[in-house]
Amino acid sequence: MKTFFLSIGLIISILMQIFVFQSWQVGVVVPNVLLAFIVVASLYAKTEQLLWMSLIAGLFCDLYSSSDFGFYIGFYLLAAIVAKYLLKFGEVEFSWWRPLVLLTFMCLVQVLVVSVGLFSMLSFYSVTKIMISYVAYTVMIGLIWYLLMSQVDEFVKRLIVTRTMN
Amino acid sequence: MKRQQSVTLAIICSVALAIIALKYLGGFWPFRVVNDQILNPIGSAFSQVGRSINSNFSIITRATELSKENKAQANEILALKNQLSSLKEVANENEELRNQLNFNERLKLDLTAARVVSSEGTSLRKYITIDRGKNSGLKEGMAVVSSGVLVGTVDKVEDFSSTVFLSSDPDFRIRAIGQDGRAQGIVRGQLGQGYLFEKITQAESIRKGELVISAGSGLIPKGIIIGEVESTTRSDNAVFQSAQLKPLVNLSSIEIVFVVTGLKQ
Repeated sequence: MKTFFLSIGLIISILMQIFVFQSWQVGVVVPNVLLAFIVVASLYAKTEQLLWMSLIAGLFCDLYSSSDFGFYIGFYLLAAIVAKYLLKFGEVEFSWWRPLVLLTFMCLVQVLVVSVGLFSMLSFYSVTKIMISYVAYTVMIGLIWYLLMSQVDEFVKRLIVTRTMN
Repeated sequence: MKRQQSVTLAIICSVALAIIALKYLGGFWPFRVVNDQILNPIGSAFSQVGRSINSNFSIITRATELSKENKAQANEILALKNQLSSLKEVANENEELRNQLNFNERLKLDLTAARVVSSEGTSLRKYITIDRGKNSGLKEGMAVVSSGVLVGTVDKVEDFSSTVFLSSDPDFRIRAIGQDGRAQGIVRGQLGQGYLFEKITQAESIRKGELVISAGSGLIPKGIIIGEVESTTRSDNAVFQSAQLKPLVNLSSIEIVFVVTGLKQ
């Protein structure tokens, strides 16, 4: 059941990322919906599921990207591994802020890697403004994913309990 | 359990490496065919849904009539600017031709229409994918226009799709001239903050409101509008002057573009 909802979430994320968010830009910024999804999904998915989802997400991003092929496959796989191990580290109960802090950090790393060359071409203020909007927009999407997934998780748990009782 | 996870990780990494190797060794065509023939049409439909939701949302937030009126006026202004630009180009060329006692017919563009399928998803660099490729005669470096205004150049060409490098990217550079003062320089993108028309010598004149057009280089013909001068920056002790250009089309909402595949006499 969980796999079904996670697959639906992945498909929605891929479609939104590649085809829909181009017309929902804030300024010039398109948020990283897939990164937000992978980081939040790491709370609910098994390691194997998460790695396969990251591979598929990276493959689709690379197909529609101008970066060297393989960049996004590597990036999402790495993000999934880091998220899976860091988010559960030392805690049994999930805190809502943990995935968002991790997402902010990962987003910052990605945007720095991608836009390091921009500092020589645009003013420091402009690049910083763009980077902040990018991170903020992505974290906002991450928060939406977190709220959605926690609701779905609750629903699945209730469903399992009801079925067991019956 | 841990051993099982390590095995899964190893399998997934191997699959990822195999896919990447396939891409670089030339065996990636089945993915590309699926992408061009199945995913792009589906993606195109989703893009339209996204745009229509976006446009509906903006209609809610604005007064409907004002929005329509504004759009109509913007189109009208753009059409008039295009007309004016063509007329000015004709006038300039006539003068030059009269001076040189030589005549050449004004060049007209051969255009191929293409639909915007997707945009670069997760990067700040500005690329879009269009649904035309080698099969439509597209080549790398060709100019891409929307409403007669330059929006970028063709970057990578596949059989049925191409990547367009948008003019708003800071790495985008093109030789340009001011239409009135004939000031020559380089235009580059500034990520949503218009364009910078730079490397204009101090002796040349550039004025606010003047249209800046392509100077003609490579596969990009001369005379395509790039933007309108918004402000100029000039200091007496500098070698060059520069101007801030206002883009005349909104690059995030373009749906259909035209690729300049050649010139017809």
